[in-house]
Amino acid sequence: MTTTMHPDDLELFEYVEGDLDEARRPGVSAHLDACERCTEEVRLLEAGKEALRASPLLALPPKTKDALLRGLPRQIKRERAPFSVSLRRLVAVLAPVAVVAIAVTAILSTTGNGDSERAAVPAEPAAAEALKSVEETGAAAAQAPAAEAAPTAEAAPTAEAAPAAQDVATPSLGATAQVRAVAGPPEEVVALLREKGFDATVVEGTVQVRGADPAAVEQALAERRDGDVPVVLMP
Amino acid sequence: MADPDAPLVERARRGDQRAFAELVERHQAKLYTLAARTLGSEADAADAVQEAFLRAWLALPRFRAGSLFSTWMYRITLNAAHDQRLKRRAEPVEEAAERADPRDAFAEAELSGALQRALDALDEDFRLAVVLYDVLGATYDEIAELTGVPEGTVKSRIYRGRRELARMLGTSTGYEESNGQ
Repeated sequence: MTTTMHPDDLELFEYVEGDLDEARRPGVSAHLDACERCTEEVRLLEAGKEALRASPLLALPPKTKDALLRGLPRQIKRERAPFSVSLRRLVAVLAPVAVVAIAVTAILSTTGNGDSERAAVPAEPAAAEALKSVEETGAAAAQAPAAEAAPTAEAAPTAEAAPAAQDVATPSLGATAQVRAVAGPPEEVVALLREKGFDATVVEGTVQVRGADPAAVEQALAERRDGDVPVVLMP
Repeated sequence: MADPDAPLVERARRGDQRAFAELVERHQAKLYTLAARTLGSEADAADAVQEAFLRAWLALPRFRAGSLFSTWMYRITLNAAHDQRLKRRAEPVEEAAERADPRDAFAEAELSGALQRALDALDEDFRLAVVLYDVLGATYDEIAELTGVPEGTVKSRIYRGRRELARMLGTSTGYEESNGQ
């Protein structure tokens, strides 16, 4: 008789959710018709569900969202691209080339007719100006600290517009900084690393480890792979 | 399961801030609600979600498409909320008082209501299960992955969470009186 065997929690839950298979549903229904205790359980389950589902989603305050998007630091790749060069180095290489090109253009122009000579005059300042702006961008990128003076959506080109910027090593981390991501919280990761003799500290939600062998750190954190806390290996 | 966020995630992985801004827009309400309902404070929730998105942005180049982006973000947000709770516990009382800064009257009202008081009183595992399932619409699979327990346990936690909550809400006057409110 159904009234003597109460359905278990899982059955009652699946009954309320409409997930109970067809074979068991009539039995549980019949039991509920006769059992006050289980009927009360179902009533509570439905009331709890209703209260929770009536609660709205809350919106992240716009100020927080704006501050977040304005303050995104530069992402750090796990490994540097094999052909990556810093903007500063790019400017250093390209500057003499540009100067020679301008000089050649000027010489060729003076050997041609008068029209082309006049046309060549404004070309040099324009090229110099363009070069200067590249140089300034490069210098700004090289001087920007890791998190504080991060490029903003308005003030800096996006990575799509300037893919080279993504390959510039973040200066404050040093050119050889390497990054892993592990399961946090950062304080526990630091405690674990210190236990094993590493020089580790929490900096702005990331874990920084100084002067450690990357393979040894990898091994020490093997249990915590695939998390979201960046571990930065400093030289 | 194909991740509807995959194209944006791929762009954001390569450093595209506009793609990341779209992901923030898509997920902010659910993540903020998760943090607010589990922390019971909208100011702490805002800090936790901001921190979570920052961590996600930094970790994106190493994000592997083993789970949905939404599940990954839930995990990061829960970790950030946990860290926020630890930070708050360590904070001197005066600083906490100075920090009281209601930023959003609606969220503030929601979080001071009877439902939140009942959620605050729930066992942490039950609270997380009902918030994820009933408020945010997460699947059993997602909750099982996030909490590291089998699907049957997830259902049992939702069951018990709802039942406790209904009891507290159904007898809210008695409950509040017995708590001296």
